[in-house]
Amino acid sequence: MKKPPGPRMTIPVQLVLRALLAEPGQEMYGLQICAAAGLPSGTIHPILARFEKLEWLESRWEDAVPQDEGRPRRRYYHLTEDGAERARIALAQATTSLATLGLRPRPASGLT
Amino acid sequence: MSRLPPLHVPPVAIASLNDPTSIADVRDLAIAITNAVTKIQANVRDLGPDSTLGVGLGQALTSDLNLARTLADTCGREILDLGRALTRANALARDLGATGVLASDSAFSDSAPDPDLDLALDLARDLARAHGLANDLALALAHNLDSAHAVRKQRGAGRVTPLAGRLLAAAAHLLPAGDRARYAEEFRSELAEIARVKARRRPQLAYAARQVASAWRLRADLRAPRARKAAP
Repeated sequence: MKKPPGPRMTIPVQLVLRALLAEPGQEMYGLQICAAAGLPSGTIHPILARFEKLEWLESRWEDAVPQDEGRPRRRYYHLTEDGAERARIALAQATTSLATLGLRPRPASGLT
Repeated sequence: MSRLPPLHVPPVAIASLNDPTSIADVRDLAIAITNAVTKIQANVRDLGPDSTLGVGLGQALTSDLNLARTLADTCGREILDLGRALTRANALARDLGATGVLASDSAFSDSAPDPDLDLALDLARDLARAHGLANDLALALAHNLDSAHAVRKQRGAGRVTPLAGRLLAAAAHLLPAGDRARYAEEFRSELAEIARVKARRRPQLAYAARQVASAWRLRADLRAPRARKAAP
């Protein structure tokens, strides 16, 4: 049986996975993931969409009511249990070494 | 001439101009200052044309009264222009202070005739009172001007740049119809977050431009067939 194609482990992809794996159980919204991965805002949605297709990631709208919060709802992402395991394997197998390139993801944090 | 009775100006405490009562207090205070200066000018006028003190103070008080009337007019307008009122209150306070110094100097001048000494002191006292009122008004206006700036700044934070909003709408429009609404809302949410945290226009536009630039890529990823649990 033909193995389904996996994601290309580009540097941004690795950075996003590392950021998500930093606290696999924690939900993060797009800008948080950008900040944690050290990537500019507005660049990660194609990556997140790819991992959602692969079912490594799940997302949901936050429960907050926009009128109460005074802002639109956030979309929260988290790695599935299976996705986290596959992400670890993918990162371990990634041929590109972030350390060699001198790139390290920032610790997960908010926007501040 | 007998001593002048001290000016009676009821105290006016102005805490905040956020409510109409306080704005009415500002107007009352501006009018009270005008009335005080008018009274002082009347007292000076009563000194007669031969009074050295009267001649010296008369001209200064005419100028003070004009400033006080302009200030009262500014404060009496339907929409209170805090900046303009503050400028005028400061100018009036400064001029009343100078007129008060002139009255004191006249009182202690070697050439001043004795009968003028007490009058000059009374006028200096009343001018100091009027000066204090003008200062109070200027301080209240300055305090509220600061608050108004802070409120404006606070309101500015979180304001989404319309152009960024339009760019994001365009980016969402490039996506498959079934995903458009979800990403449009997600983009708006992130833009609102950037606007709230950074407030400035440039980061918002940069974010929106990056979404537009990556929209085709996102569209391709969303249109790709679903691959289940692929291994890398």
